[in-house]
Amino acid sequence: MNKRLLCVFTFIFMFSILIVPNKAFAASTLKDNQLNIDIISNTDIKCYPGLDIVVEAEIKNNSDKTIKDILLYTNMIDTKKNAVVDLGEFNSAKPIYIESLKPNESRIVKLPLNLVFTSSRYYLYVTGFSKDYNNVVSTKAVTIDIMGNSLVNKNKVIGLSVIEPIAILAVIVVSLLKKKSKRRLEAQL
Amino acid sequence: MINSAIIKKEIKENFFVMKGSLWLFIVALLFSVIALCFVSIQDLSMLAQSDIITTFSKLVIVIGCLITIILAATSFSNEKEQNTLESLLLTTVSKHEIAIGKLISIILMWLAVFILSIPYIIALGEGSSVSVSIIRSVFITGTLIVVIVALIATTLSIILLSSKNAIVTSIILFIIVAVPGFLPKAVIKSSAGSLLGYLSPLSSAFNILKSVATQNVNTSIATTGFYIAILVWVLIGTFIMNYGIKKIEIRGE
Repeated sequence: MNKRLLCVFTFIFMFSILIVPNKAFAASTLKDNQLNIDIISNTDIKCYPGLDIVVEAEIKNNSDKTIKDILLYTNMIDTKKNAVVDLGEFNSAKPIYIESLKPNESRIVKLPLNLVFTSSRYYLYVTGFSKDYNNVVSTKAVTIDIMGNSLVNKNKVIGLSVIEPIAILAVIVVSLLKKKSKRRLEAQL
Repeated sequence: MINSAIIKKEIKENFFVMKGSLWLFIVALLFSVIALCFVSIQDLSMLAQSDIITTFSKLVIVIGCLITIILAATSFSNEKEQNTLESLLLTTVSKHEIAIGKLISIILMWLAVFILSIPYIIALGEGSSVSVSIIRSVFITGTLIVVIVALIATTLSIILLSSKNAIVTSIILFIIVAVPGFLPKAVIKSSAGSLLGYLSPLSSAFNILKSVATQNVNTSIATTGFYIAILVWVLIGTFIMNYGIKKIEIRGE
């Protein structure tokens, strides 16, 4: 019985060792969660590619001290490809810098975003980071549907891409043959 | 001022030789490859149609400029290297008539490139309402840019009297002038970037094309400034060319 009791206590002790740091981490996360960001503009974005939109986000300092050097930026996840969209590739997004945010101060920021690619499986969220704060905070993701606006007829483009060079080549060959036969005629005369 | 005999001679030398025909074939082939990329490469095919048309139109103008550089930079230096410049100057045709004849023939080559691009612009712009306005803008801005390039490259051909030197110098100048047209969006939006946009005629032309393709509500206001910038460059080019023409002389070599 004593052995069983010892085993139970040992298990509880070992389990508590495993649990304590996690609790401490969770507590530190909660304690550090002094910045709060929310997307306040349209939470269901539906737009055409090529257009510029503005994502409005509200950032609030929940702490009792000023937080300096805050950088806010947009992120996009493509769930179709299971990849992060590289918004820097076409300079689609521009981060916004906030010099300082006083205690309990909230500010609304407008993040510009150029819609480049077409997909209905994008998720967009805003992330905030501060050197002072040394942690990142993100908003909840909102769905973003960039509708295809291209009416390009693929077959027509392929057909044209084949026909035009061939037609020009044919004209060159015919004119060369004409020149050659003309020269031959002149030589015969 | 315009001598039809000189124009005919230049057209014959530029179009009715293997070199000219082959160039047009290569240009058509290049247009085909680019158009195929836009519909077959997934990332490119997902681009906005306005971006596809703008990129293709930019390419048409750049190709037109490169052909113009080669033709214009060799126009007088080639005559000199083949010892035909002196005999041409001894005829009753004035120096201005020779230069204008050469310029017209170079612009006609650009027009041939432009005509080749029309079917591609129509095909890539299908369904959108911008095809006609883009074709019109490519024609106007492209012709003005080609005129500027031709005026400067021809002057270099007169002054340097060496085809190789004139081509290299013209290409270097073209790259310098073209750089602002390919700057990242963030730089273009800055005050220094927008100033560079006005200073570079190619960048101005690209901005016009973008405004037209995206059907910017302020198109007329935005494009007027860029057209003025291009026209100023045409004027500068004309002065440079005028200076160059004065430098043409019979050396008796």
